[in-house]
Amino acid sequence: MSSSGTTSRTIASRTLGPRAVATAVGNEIEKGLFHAWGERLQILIELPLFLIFFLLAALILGRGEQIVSGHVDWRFEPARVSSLMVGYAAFLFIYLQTAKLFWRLLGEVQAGTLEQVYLSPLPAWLVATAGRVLATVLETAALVVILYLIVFAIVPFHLTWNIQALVPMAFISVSSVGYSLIEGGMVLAWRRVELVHELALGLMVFFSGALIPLSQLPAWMAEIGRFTPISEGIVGLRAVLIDGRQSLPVGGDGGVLWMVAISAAYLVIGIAVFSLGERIARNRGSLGRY
Amino acid sequence: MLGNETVKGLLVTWANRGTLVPALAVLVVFYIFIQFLIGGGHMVPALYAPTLLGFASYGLAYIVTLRMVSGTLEEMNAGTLEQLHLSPLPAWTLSLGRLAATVIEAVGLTGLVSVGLILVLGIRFSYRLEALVPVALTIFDVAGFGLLLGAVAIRVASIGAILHVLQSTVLFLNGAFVPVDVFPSWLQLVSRLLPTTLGVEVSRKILLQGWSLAAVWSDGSLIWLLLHSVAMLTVGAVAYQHSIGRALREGGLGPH
Repeated sequence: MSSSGTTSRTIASRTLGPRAVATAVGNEIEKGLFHAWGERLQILIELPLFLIFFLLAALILGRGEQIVSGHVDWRFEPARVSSLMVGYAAFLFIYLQTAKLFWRLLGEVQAGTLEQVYLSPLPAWLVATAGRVLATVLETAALVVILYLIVFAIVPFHLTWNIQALVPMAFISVSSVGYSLIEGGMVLAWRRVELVHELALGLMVFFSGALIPLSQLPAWMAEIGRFTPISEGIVGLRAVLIDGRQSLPVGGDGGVLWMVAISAAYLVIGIAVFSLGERIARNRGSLGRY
Repeated sequence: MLGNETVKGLLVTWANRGTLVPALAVLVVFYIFIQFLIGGGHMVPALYAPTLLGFASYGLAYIVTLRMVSGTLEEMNAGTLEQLHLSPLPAWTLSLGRLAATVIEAVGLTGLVSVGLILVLGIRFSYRLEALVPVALTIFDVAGFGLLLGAVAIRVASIGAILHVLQSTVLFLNGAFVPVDVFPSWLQLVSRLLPTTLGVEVSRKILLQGWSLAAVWSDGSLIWLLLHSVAMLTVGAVAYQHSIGRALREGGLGPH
């Protein structure tokens, strides 16, 4: 049964012209934006949380000795705030992309509507992510702008805006999509993986250099951190926005080669894991069963 | 009936025991890495003891509120919450069974995590039985908080986001990251309004600074904790009763 479904879908995909594919992808993007708009209240409720965490992190990171002494200097250091803002924005992106895809898939499984995805002639992984990416970019952008304005009003910090910043941003987006597909595949296959999701994202915030730059982490953590989806992008983003570099290096941390390798690897692995999870679920007949 | 509800809650917990180990791992890893970040890339052993009390209280509040909200929603979606309220007992009494099972699970889990961290990190406290008083009051405080959020879950569809914000606010401000007395005075006031903060402060005075119960009573901190716990439990029970009563009248105990 599953093989005949695959065959019919493959045939349908082959018969779709570029215009029809563009229309189908456009519809998914529109649906994703509707979803994002429907979740505006949730984002609004969570906004203070993102802000409080950022401000608290900016104040207490690296101040352990001061806290022990009982006399903390509750003032912001603009340089630290700049660095943290860049890392935090990148982490927010992967957090939102992964969490939204994860919960949306789980919701569709629970509601029994996931099987409808297979009525589309497009590959399931594309349907699952196409609509999500633009919505996540917009949501993250809105959140970061609000965060930026509020934090800037409290502590004027400096970022050097440069068009080059779009390069690491693009790689962060691609590898985040790839990573979210890995978790999506796990949801399809095993359902109850909330703790894996929380643990993985929790570890990523520590290892990726989002809060403390890779160069300041202990060597063993930095070595592991280099393989997280967003770490190289964050290094590149900081090089442009904070150090004011006009071009990105080819090799080394934050270099184009590393960013290409990491994002391509996550995307390929993500598609493979998602497809595997999908195959397991279809073989079990559990796509619409929680 | 209360006993049956408690046993049912414990059986559900046992059935989901496979999720307990990862839950414990998440808590332990999270605590260690927070310490690491606060130290700016290294651990600060002097912070372990004061922050562990806050973190353990957060773990308690996290599990109780999560189970109360998710348990209520699962029963609503399954349609069994309506069946439960065919009973002549008041709603908040019926909820005590789930609450009791949840509290037993939460105390057990946070106890395990705390003992593990104490052994692994070599944390030292001056263990005294008097500390059981603030610990018990903190559990009541958290139980009231769980009832309150269970009441909100019945009425509000976006409870997930609200729960996430409230749990995280407790984590940030109850002393799990930074002892509350180091905060600026306005932030101390805000943090003491939250569940668990006063319990953490009183426990710290007894377990770390060697104060007696009489001392924490006379400086007012135990009195404030007592008042907070009683108020939270009362507000939680009244809100839960009101929420269930209203949902029964409006036919809103089924799926959202």
